[in-house]
Amino acid sequence: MASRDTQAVAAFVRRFQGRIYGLAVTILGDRQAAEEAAQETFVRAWRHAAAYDPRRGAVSTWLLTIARNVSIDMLRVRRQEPVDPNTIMSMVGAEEEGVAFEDVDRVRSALRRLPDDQRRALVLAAFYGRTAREISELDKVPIGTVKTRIRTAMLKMRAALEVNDDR
Amino acid sequence: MTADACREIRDLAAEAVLGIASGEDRARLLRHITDCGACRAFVQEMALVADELMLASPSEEPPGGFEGRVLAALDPAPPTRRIAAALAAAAVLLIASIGGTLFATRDDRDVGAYYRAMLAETNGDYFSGALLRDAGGSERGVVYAYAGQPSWVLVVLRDMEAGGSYEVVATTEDGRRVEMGTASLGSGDRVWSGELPMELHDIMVFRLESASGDLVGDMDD
Repeated sequence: MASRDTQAVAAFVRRFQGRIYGLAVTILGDRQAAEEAAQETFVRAWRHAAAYDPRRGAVSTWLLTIARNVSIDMLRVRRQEPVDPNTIMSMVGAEEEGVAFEDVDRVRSALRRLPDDQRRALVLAAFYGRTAREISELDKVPIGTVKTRIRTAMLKMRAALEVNDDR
Repeated sequence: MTADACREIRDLAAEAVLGIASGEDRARLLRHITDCGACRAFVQEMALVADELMLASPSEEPPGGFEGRVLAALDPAPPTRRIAAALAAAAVLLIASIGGTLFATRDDRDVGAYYRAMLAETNGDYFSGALLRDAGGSERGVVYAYAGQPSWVLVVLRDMEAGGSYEVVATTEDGRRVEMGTASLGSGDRVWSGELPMELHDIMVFRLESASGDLVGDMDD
């Protein structure tokens, strides 16, 4: 996105807008707010293009992480009610239309293999920025249990995705 | 590092990389991984997992006209505006580095990211500057230099008493003298700028030469 060419920037936006907007809709549950978040994501990416490090992952992952942070910030300001657990679960199980993304399938498959309680804790933390204490109050389980679920789920995802820092 | 300390930090890692750990826990983790390479690598791996999780979200096309609205928000500025923006940003950054207090409470990474973004925005790759001092060592102004397309130098006088007609000269590390033009400063104008006809990193000293005394900016200061 460091290119000054407007057509190139437009092509860049077109390529990733679906994924960015989709994540914002998932987190915010409000299409108007999601569009605002998606737009802010591209603006931040533009401003911080030089900070992008290809060794840290694909451009799409970098953009999605920005979109996640922007959306969660908006969610906290709006003090929205806890999300419907069914929304979270349907998200993980959703089928992607159009182009197949190998990485998308890989992550979703790994998420689906997690036990329900671990997946729920991880999704609430990762996609909605809920703290262990908040999840504990939401699900009425001890905070230590929530922390263990999140930690265990992350370790299982790490193993499933075969993540290592050498790439 | 003790095994107990490492185990405790690794227990914190998941919440930290997901951005839901307390400030105290994050600080503890950061302190530990500064000195522990194994835990640092573990935390980096967990951070990659957290990043990749976002891929699981569904894709959905935004409403019509979204792309145009993003482009309008980005507002790619014409070159002259970009240079002006870079000048302003560069000035702020230099003042921060010289003054040492303006950004004392600001996260260094924010400043660094801003600096890199600004250079990227203007197709630049390096920026530097120095205080201009008179023969007595008093500060009279600042010289900023920017390596990009084009490269430029900007002289800003701080006090009108230093005004006058100056020959702006750069001296390279191998002793070469490059004259860049005449700056008439002080009579209402406190700023002079010109294109830099050489590599910025070769410059050792900027000198404003005048009959009443030189002002010198040492780039190695």
